[in-house]
Amino acid sequence: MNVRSDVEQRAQAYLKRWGIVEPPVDVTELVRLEGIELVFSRSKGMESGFALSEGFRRVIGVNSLEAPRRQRFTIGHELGHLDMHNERGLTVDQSVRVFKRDEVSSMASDSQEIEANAFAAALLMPQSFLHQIVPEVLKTVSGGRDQLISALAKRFDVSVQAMGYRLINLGMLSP
Amino acid sequence: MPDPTSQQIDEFYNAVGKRVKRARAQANLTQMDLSQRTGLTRSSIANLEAGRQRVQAHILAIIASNLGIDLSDLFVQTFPTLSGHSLDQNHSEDLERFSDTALDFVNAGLKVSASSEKL
Repeated sequence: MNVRSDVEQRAQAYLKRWGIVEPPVDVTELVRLEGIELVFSRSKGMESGFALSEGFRRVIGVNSLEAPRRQRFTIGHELGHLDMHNERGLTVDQSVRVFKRDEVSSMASDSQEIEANAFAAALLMPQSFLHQIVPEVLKTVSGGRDQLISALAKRFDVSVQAMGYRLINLGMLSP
Repeated sequence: MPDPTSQQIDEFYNAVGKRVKRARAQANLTQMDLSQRTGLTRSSIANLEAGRQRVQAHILAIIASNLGIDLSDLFVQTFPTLSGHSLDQNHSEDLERFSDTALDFVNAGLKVSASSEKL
């Protein structure tokens, strides 16, 4: 519980610092304002992105073959690693992770991935923005929960899946 | 660590300028307001925000205190692309953790960053 609210606060600090008050959050600009290099390259494998921290240099790499909304989430995820897991040096993230239960370090690594995902969700879909916008969107959306999720996903420029998870995690939507 | 190129230094001051501009806008001040508060001319604030001027440290300290922020908020924590364009030896023990496609991906990204610098 404490860990999660800490991640939320860390993400909020970036929005506050750069005066971002409404969606969609411009993560590309935010990362550049932070002085982090942002590079796009193609990967034939399952790589979604990487974060490199080397001395004073910080780089976020994004797989440009992925969908734009996935790329935005990846940028948030990698910023989360740089913010919270600075000791890691280089992190390469896969869009599909195979859990290696035999590795001693895998538990720590799993929890860092979960934290980075939580950070990205908090950065792109801040709770306060959602509290303000959900009632607005509810007035204009006809149809059920799928239409609501999809309208919100569009407004926040995130994937429908990411929005669905976020609403459930915030208790705004029943699982 | 090699010396930064002048373009890298320009990028650094550019980022500092952007930070000043954002912080000023967040404090709801115009360039003129900040000029009156700090005694700097409006045009030097404009130059600084656009990264055209290599601002001195004490000027930034004056600006930060007038905007009610930490001086460190105005500094960019990184110096882009100082340490070369591919993964260096420091990471080599580390690198065994990663697959070949993962390393190709990272090195391709770092190459992109090197070529975009030349634009």
